[in-house]
Amino acid sequence: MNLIKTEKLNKIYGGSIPYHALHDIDFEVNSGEMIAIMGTSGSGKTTLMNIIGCLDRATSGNYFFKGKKISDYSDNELANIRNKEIGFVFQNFNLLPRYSALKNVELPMLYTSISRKERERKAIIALEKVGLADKLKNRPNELSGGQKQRVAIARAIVNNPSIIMADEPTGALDTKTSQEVMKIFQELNNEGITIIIVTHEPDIANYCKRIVKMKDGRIIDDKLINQNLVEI
Amino acid sequence: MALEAILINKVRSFLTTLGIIIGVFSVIVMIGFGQASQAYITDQVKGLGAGVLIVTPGNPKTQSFGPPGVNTTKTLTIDDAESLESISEIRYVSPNAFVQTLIKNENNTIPAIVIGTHPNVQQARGLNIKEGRFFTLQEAKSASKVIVLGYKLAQDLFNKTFHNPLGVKIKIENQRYRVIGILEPQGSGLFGSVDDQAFMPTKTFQQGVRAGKNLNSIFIKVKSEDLLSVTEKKVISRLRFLHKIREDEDDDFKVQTQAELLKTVSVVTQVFTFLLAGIAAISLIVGGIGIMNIMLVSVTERTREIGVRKAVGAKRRDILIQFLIESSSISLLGGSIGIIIGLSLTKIITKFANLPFVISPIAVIGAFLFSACVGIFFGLYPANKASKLDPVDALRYE
Repeated sequence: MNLIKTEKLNKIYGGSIPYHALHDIDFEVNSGEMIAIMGTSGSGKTTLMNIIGCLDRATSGNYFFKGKKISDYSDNELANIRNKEIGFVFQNFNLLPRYSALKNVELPMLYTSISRKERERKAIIALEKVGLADKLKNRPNELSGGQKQRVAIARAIVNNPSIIMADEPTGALDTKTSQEVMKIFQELNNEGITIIIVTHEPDIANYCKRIVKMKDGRIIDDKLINQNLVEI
Repeated sequence: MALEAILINKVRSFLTTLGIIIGVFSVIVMIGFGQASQAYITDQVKGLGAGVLIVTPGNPKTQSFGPPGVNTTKTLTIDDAESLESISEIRYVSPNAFVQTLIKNENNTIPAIVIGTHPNVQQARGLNIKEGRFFTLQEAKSASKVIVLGYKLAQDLFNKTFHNPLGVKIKIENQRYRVIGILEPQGSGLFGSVDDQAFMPTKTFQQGVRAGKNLNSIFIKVKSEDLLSVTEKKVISRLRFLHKIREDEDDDFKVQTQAELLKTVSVVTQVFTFLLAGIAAISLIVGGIGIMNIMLVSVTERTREIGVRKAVGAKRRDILIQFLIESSSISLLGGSIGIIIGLSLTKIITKFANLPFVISPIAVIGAFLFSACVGIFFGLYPANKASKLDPVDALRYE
């Protein structure tokens, strides 16, 4: 069974001049994949990620997540899926500036019934996993860009999601840190988490196992790469 | 986490809280002050004792609304009072008359209220003697030319020196009266400020200060409380007889029990208290608008935070509750501080104004709950606005 499957997904932004951002997207993601979605700005890659990330809704078409048709789920049901199944990583980290790394990582668990102690325990484990066990109490402005993005990754994985969606996760990082971050994604993928990365950098896309290219709201290319790189 | 958000913006939170602090504080002070006045006046009326009837001149239907004794209708006389003494249920009758006049001692001429009354008034009004003594029943019956002075009056007459004022003869309307007592300072009350008053026996008063038999009021102390209604009927029929009032005519006097007087007094002070509290409550609402204002700013500032929270799974309700907790925490904090400051200030005011300090739990709890409601009510609009933000838009917000 596919983890994600879309049928003729269309997104039209309203306004005086309607803008057709996605055209009849048929897209499938299997469990354990690591996919790069590439394209120039305006190609619709972020729009597609927002829809399959349940942050946004398609104008028409069907979207199945783990076999369930969630295109007509309510806002609260979608929030639940985001909470339990999906972890987000953003280009600008989107950490809450006034909270420590630990508190930031605990954030997704605030919207579950997990106890305070358990929240802290899980957040510490997640931060250890991204190599930030010594930065628990630091606030985002006391961390480097790479460290911030690692906090964001810890936040994304803390609820054990099925899939991580990263929108230009290395966009604000230098080459060396970008590589480090991508290696963390690869490790997580090796552990079985499905990963989708939106990027326009071929170097970053090359860390993935499948590259989907988009242009003008359509998928123009979809190919597998690096099938031998699993061992990294 | 809501509390953390408040602590992070300390100055802003404090300024926002200030509106609520001032609102709650003024409500508490106003209610406290109103209730202190009420308690004081009630105490004074109760000081008259339970089995008390107050007769005032004038038709009850045409009489104006106000404390007893201010009526100027001349229908009660000392003869009425003396006649009432023969009613067996009555312990004593205190005929009261007063006039605003001038009191002279050497070069000092001081305006004052001189009251002709019964010696029992000392106990009934709780008048404590600082020096000397009050006049006796004997002196009242024999119309002795003696006078007891209020504290401030005595100070003014004797140049604050109190160089043995007892026994000095002071002049009222060209008659001399011997000072036999000075009262302790009391502050003002239901019957005016005792400190500016002078007391003498009714007979003495009517022979010298104001000639004539007219009285301003008659206080009647009944032997026991359960005889009150019987006595009231007897007093009425006796007075009707003495005043030669026909069957079909209305009384030309009014008899009130202490309970009725209390009721009148408390209605007046309650209206007064509510009025003050109402004005103060307006400032509480203004404080609430301040909260709404700052919460709207906060929602805009934290648009991204809301986006992140929604992305990681916060539902509309979660965001709504978060902002409501923030706004109500601000208002509850302000409410608590306002209550503390309000109660302290009330205590200080009542101490200096010589009023009893009354804490009304209803007023305190009410102010607390009201400030919570203000926080929730005025937080609702900003919180709702925050909860409705679209996650994609909120994340993109710069």
